[in-house]
Parts: sequence; C-alpha cells; structure tokens
Amino acid sequence: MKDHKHIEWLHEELPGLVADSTVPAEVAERLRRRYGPVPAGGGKRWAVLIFGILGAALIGAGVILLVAHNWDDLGRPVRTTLAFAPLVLAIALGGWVLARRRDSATWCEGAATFWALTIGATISLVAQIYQISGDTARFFLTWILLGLPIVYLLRSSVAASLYFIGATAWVGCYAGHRQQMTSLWYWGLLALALPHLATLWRGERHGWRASLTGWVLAVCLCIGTGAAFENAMPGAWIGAYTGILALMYLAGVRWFGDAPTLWQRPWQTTGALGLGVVALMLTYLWPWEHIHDTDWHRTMMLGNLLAALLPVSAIIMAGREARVAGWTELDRVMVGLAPLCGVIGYALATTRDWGAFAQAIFNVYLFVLGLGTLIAGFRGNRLGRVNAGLLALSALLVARFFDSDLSFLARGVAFIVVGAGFLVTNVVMLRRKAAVPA
Amino acid sequence: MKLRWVMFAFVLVAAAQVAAPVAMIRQRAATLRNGRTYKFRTRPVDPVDPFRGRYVRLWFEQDHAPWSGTELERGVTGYARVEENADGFAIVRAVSPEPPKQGDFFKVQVNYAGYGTNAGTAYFQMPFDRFYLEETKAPVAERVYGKNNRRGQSNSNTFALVRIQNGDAALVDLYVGGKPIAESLKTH
Repeated sequence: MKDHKHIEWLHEELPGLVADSTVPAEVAERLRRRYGPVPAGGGKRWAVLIFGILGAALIGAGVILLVAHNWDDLGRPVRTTLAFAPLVLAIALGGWVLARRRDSATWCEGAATFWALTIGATISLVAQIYQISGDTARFFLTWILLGLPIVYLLRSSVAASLYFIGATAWVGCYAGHRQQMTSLWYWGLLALALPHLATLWRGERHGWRASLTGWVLAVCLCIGTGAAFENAMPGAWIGAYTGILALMYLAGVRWFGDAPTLWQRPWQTTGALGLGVVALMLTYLWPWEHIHDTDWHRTMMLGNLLAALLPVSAIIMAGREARVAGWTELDRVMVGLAPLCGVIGYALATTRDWGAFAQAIFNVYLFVLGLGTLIAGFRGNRLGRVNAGLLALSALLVARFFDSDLSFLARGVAFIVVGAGFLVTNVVMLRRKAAVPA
Repeated sequence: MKLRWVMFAFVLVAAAQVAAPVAMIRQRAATLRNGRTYKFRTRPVDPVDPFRGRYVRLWFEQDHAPWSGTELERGVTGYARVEENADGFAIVRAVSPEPPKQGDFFKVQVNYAGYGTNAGTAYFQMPFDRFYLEETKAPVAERVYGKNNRRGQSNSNTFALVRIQNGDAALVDLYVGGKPIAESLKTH
C-alpha cells in the first residue's frame, strides 16, 4: 500500500535500522527505491480541499443569514436583486471553474458546495420577500432538483451528499401524513444520483468521495426508509429495515471488504450497527402488536411490494453468500437471516396474531447472531468482530434482564459474568495476536 | 465529456436555476397586482404563542369549512372557496378536492378532519400563515399583534389583507388596530 504516512514512517525508521545493523545498507537503499520518496505536500493538499469546502459552506451560510435579516427599508426590488446576487455569483463561479479549473478537486467541490447552498438561499429569500409561506416539502424538492445537475457538472461528492440529505428531509416532511404514493418517490430521487455513485465505485472505491457519499447515503437510508413506507401496511417497516440493513452489510462486505480503514467501510458498519439496533427492538413485544388488523384496501399496493422486495433481495443475496462463506465469514449468513426472521415473524404476527412467537424468534436470532459473530471473530482472529459479537449478546442479556422479574442477585451475577466474559475474551485475543509472529 | 457539451449543459442548468425563483415571483407579483382583495380576520391567539425567528405566525378564524368531497383525510390537497361576508371580511364557504369552476379560491392542505359534531369539516393550513418582517422589528410586532389579538377581545381591526387570483393567495399586509403593522410599530 503506497500510503503517504507509511512511506514517511519508513524513511524515518531506515537510518536507525541501518545504524543498529537490523537492516543492511543496500537493503535499506532498495526499500527506498521500492517505495520512492515521501510524496510532497500530501497533507497540505488535503487541508486545502477540506478548508476549501468548509470555507464555501460557511460563506454560503453567511450570505443566507445576512440577507435573511430582511432589510425592510430597502424595498422589494432591491431585496429581490440582493436575493439573486448569491445565486448569480455561484453560477458565475461554477462556470469559471468548469472552464478553467475542471481538474481541481478543491475548486470543483468548493464551488459546488457554495452553488448548491445558494439555490436554497435564493428560493427561501424570494419566498420571504414575497410572503410565500409554501410547504416545506416542496421547498426541499425544488432545491434538490435544481441542485442535482451540479453533482454531474462539477463531479462533486459534497453536492451529492447534500442532495441525499435534502431528499431525506423531503421524505421526512411526509412522516405522519397520508400522501398516498408521494413518499415512494424517495427511491426515484435517490436513483437520480446513482450514476455519480457508480462512477465513484468504478474509479476510486476506497477514495474519500466514495466514503463520504457512502456514509451520508447509508445514514440517510436508515432515516428515509421508514418515512418512504409511511403508507404501506402497518409493520411493513420490519421487513423493509431488516432487508435494507442486511443488504447494506452484505454489499459492503462483498465490494468494500478489502477497505483498510473503518472510514472506508460505511456500508457494512452502518448495516451491522443498524441491524443490531433493529433486531434488539424486535426482541420486545411492542413492534409486533397491533399489526394483525391490516386493512389492505387502505394501504398502497406498490409500497407494500417495494417494502417486500427489500427483505426478499437480502435473503437471496445471503443465500448466495452462504454457499461460499466459510467459518470465518459466518456473520454474512447470520446477517442474511435477519430479513428471513422478519418475514416469518411478520407472517405469524399478522395472520395468527402470534406476536409473542415472533418476539421469541428475534430473541433467539440475536443470540445466534452474537454467538455466530463471536465464533467468526475467534476463527479469523479479529478482535473487532469478537467484541461486536459480545456486544450483541450483552445487549440482549441487558434488555431481557431489565424486563424480567429476576432477583437483583441473579441480575448482578449475570452482569458480572458478562463483564468478565468481555475482559477474558479480549485478553485471550490480544495474547493470541501477540503470539502470532509479525 | 467535451467542454463544449459541458458548457451547454451548464447554461441550461443556470437558466433553470434562475427561472425557478423568477417563476415564483411572476405568479405572486401578478396576484399582488391583479388579485381580488380580501380581509381575513385573525383568530385570537395566546400572547405567548409562537413567534418563530423573523416572522409572525398568523392564526385565522376561517381555517375550517365543510368538505364537499368524498374521502376526507389528513394531508390531502383541497381548494378553499372564498367569498366576502356582509361585514366586509372573508369567509371560506367550502373546501373541495377539485378547484371550483366559479368564484375565488386558494389551494390548501387539510391538517385534520373534524369528528363528532364537527364531522365533515376540513381543518386546513392557510397558505399565508407567516408574515415575514425585519429581524429587529419582529419581536415588537409579535407584542403588538398579541396585544390586539387576546382572547375575548374584539379583533375586528386586526386582519390580514390578502389578494387572491387563479388559486394563488398573496399576503399583502398585516393590519393591527386598523393600521398596517409597519405603522403600528412606529408608535411602539
């Protein structure tokens, strides 16, 4: 891996290694040639990029606040001109960057951030000047649709991230409303940005753009999925969430499994964390109650079908993974079981009113998930995975101990056992790692 | 992609981005110029009732009317048919799922459906429930507005002046104590 930090470290270490005869001088020289000189200004380039984006965002926000003061004394025409000024400026800057600085990531991302923000600023200022109350959903929709081309023109991942956040805010406006099909368009809106993501994934899968958009989209999906299926059957979220989170995890492991850092693994991290939380929720009875009296005619068929598509695709993908997965990849199979349990539980709770049975399934599932992850971690000698398994097991234990009538003595002993389990496992794992020759 | 095509796309995008707010202004400016004027009586509010940031939140007496469609649900879009009452104030006669063929109307979103003795009544959100003001003037405006809009107090002099045309309703001014709010603020 030709990483800036590692090469710098190597160059710092080599003289010492040669001095104490650990490495012969000619080997040191060969290593220097092999890895080349320390790339100049790597850190500086990053700083310029980050501060460029941050600066653009701050200026954009500042302009919004400045004009939002609503200078009453200036009169409507002057205020309208002022409202358009930031947008026109941003368009001009965008045009200049396109013509002259198309290859500079700093210029493209900075200009795109400023440009995307000023669209929202101008629309809201015009609304303020002309006393247009408008509805928030429409405002977000207009903003993101007008801003979407910036993603492609300037190939900007910050603008794409803002687009995902805007789309999620838009669908969030429908929470609690009966808008029939409207909220389902969330998936269509997200799909409009897919070509940009596909380009990133094909080019630099582990680059900062793919990671940034990955994290933003993964978190947005965790929020937006529920709102998008607002009008589907009661309890449709069980299948939808277990399905989409399992898909995120499986896709992450499959296509981003070789990513060196946590920052570069947004899909499997969000998928695993989200699935843990959802599975834990489903070990309670409340999600399974009141979903048996489904009134099919009052819900939208397309929403139900789409909500069902998510767990079904996740189950199919997990089935394919199961055929090739060994003991160290047991977690993939375990994760794939979540939507299957969700679908079975849902069927039992709706057709037979067996909510308690569905609850029991998820108690067993979370236990098996924790144990499976633990075993996979042990086999693969991966401390993170071992701790994730332990975390799932203890979350289940804590949840059950708080809603059971066991004595304080029994609970106390159980907590001490779990705590000791954590410590012992970590010590054993660390020793095993240390014993393995580097 | 060739630069020529990129620049062509850029010009289209820029035009659309400028055109969207211009379209907002065009429709609103036409209503402000040619729309029929109505006076909407504001409903008594609690003096501590929200004032968010830089606008005065307005509550109206005429925020509900009989629903003339079949299925009444929260979130559905309706069209409020408006007329002038004998005392010169606006009254919403009915809310229908389709725009009425005659008379003035404006688009609303149903907040909730009435029940019990109010069954069949649509409670909706007015499309002109915010009056934007300069940051420093807004808190004073809220106090003045609240003072003239207390419960049990006659509020015939406190109303929102609205122009309506082709389903678009534009808030022209807020009258407090019979005077535009900007004038009322000068005396406070």
